[in-house]
Amino acid sequence: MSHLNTAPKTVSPVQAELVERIEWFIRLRWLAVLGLLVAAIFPTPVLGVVFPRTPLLITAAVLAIYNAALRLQARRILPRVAQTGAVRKVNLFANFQISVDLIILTALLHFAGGIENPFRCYYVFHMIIASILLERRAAFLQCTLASALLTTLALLERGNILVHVHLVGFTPTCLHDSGIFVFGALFVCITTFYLSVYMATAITERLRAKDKAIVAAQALAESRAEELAEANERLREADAAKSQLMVRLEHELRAPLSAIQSCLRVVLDGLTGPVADGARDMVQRAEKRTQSMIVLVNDLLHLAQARKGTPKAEMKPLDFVEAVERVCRDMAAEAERKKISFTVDGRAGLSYVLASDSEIEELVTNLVSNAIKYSDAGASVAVATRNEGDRVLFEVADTGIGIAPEDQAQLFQEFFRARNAKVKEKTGTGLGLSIVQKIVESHGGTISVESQLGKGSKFTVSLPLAGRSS
Amino acid sequence: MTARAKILLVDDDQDLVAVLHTVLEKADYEVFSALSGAEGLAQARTQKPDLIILDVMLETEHTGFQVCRELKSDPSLRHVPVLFLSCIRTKKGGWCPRGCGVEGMAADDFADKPIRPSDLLARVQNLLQRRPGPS
Repeated sequence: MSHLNTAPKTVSPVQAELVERIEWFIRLRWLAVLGLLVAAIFPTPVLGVVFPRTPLLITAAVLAIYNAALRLQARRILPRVAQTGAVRKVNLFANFQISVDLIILTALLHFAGGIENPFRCYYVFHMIIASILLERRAAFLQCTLASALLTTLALLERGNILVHVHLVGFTPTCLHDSGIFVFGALFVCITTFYLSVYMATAITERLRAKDKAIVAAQALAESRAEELAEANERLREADAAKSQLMVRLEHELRAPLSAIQSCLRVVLDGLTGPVADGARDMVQRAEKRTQSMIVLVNDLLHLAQARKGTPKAEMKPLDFVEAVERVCRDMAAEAERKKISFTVDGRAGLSYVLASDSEIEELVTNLVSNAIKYSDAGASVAVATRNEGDRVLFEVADTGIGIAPEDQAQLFQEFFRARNAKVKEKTGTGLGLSIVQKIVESHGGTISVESQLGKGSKFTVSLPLAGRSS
Repeated sequence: MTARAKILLVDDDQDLVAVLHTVLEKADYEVFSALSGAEGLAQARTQKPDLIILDVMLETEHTGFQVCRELKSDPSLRHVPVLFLSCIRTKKGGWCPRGCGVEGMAADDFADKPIRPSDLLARVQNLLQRRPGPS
């Protein structure tokens, strides 16, 4: 019996399972040896049925020796086949075992009643095993072999070419002589064999197809995971390159402006000698415009950074109240210079937020410096922090110029400056609040404003506390 | 007559070097300058300055942080205070801004560009007063 499978170059999980099942099949055959021994010894004294003891014992011995040889061969072939991928040998091995088993079963039947013996049903076990171990076509060929062996046995015994061994005490007459009995028995057996193979191979084919699909899906998932890892690496490199570019851009934009302003300041400070009034006026104008350019470049770069946002993975727990107090200490001098009452009330207690230190500093600086910038002498600026549930609230309230209702809707737009703000302070890029809003949003927070024209404004920022869901 | 304190400027921006020369010489310091990291290291070893003003973002083969690392690794120059000048906002304490790609080395002070002459002179004076002697 030749195997019919094209051996794959590598061992698939299906073939690996075949190896495992062959080993199981060999272990199962020991039960058959035991069954033969029992059949040789017990039925005659217990049931009164005369079983031919000697042929059964000889067959049991042959089966035992044959199975031991198969075991040794399996130990030699199967591990090497798993490593080298030569699955053709495994399929041949499986086919060989099933064919030999069918021949031994046929011989046993001959010594124990032939076609009369109900154990002719045991061919079905071999059909099922063939359906599990082999491909569909090979299983049907084994089925045909079984049918041919049983039919040949029945016909040879009926034709007295082979001596029929009658089971005395089991069947009353020699049924093997009855043509209709032999035909009926063969018909039922053979149709049962083919139906069993058909049903069993249908199930195993579906299971194999599912296994193949799972293996293919796993391979695809692995390949996708590799692609994803490569894409992530490329993104990280691109992000690092972008960060490098931003740093270079900052330098390239600021450096010449810094040099210009430094030169102008040196002249204004008289370090290059006395400066005529007319020249001083021009240099002052140039210095002021350069300062405005520097502020604009700074704000644009901060806006770009705020838009990009700090990745969550790079945020760290930050003591928010301490950060606010730190910025306010730096701003206190400016408030004092403008004779503005400046108070900081940090009663929030434990208020850690997951944040970027530099961005929080930017946020606080922009709001507090705006409050001071748009307030006159005698006004007040009050900064407060407090916890509310799982959030920390940060408020900056001033009694400055306030914001007109029609301007409040556009307050956070880039480059927007309220009309009264432009009158109060000519310099200003209109980017500060836009930067603040983007920083707040990137930290999972919200910002709101209450204001009355001429009376003052209150900005409230709400940020989620670290370790609590927002 | 007390000797004037020697200050070494290391910056590849020639205009800024000219500004710093003017400011520091007016304040009666003896000023040397170098336009690259390598030249700066060579000058430091030969001139033995009392203070080094170093640009963070040198565009030469050595960055400001690399130069600072070499200075602080040299036993004869370790004690010389280093004042970093930068137009990139950095935290005080000398650590490199994110993304510059160079491991930071602690300088003794930072000053932002554009410089304010009065602010610069105050920082220089402060560093010269608290500098330790050679080890």
